[in-house]
Amino acid sequence: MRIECPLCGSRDRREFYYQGHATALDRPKPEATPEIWDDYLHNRENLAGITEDLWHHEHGCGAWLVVKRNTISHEILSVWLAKENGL
Amino acid sequence: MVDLIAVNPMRGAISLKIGTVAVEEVQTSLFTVGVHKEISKKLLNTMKSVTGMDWPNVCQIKSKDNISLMWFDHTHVAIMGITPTLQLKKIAAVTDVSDAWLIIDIDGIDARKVLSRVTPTDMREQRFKTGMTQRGDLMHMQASISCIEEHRFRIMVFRSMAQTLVHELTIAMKSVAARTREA
Repeated sequence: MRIECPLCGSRDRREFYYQGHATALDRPKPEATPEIWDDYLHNRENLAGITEDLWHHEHGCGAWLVVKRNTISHEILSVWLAKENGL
Repeated sequence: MVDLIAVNPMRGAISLKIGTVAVEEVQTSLFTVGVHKEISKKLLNTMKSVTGMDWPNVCQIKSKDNISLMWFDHTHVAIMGITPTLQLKKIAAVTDVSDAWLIIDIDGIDARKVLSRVTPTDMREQRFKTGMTQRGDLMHMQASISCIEEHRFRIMVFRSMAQTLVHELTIAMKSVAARTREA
């Protein structure tokens, strides 16, 4: 599996660290209800299909990336820098 | 009072020549310049006045008058060969990492073949051109690999990995030399 880093180009996935679903980019406001915080911290979909995950290019440029991929076919649809989401 | 003596990462000069490929250690200062929030116009201008060169593009390395300016990662640029001025330190996170990295040059007609054995980075001439730098794996090490001439590459790894790097390169150089002899 290869990931197209927007900075470094096409790289082997072993250069990347997998963090989890890109939910972390949608952090609730501090005053949000406990239910919303509980959902944000603990609950994740286990989708068979298209998902967006956070990967860290730790053996490369060090940037956090959002990788949109299909968990059924393993196809990677697009990759962008997480900071474009406001990180 | 004990006088501390600076020693190079290999505790002696690296002098390695196997087949057509030679490795030598590069003695230079190394500073990283970290961008605070964004690359401001003031930072661009200051960098130009300090180094005589424009801020490098992503994956670019350039040199002028023994000073090298190198893209280092998504928020850092590395300066080799000079000590940045206070002017630059005021507007960016400048860190002296001279003692933290081993810097070597690997040179020779088969240098690309040697590096192809130790890194998954695409070393082909049409992909890894002069003036290009990459961060990536070198065996299990986090490395910086730059093409400074057609057959000459600058490799940087953490200082603690110095002996490992030389060990891995030696094996790869011997393997390439053996195959070249057969051919």
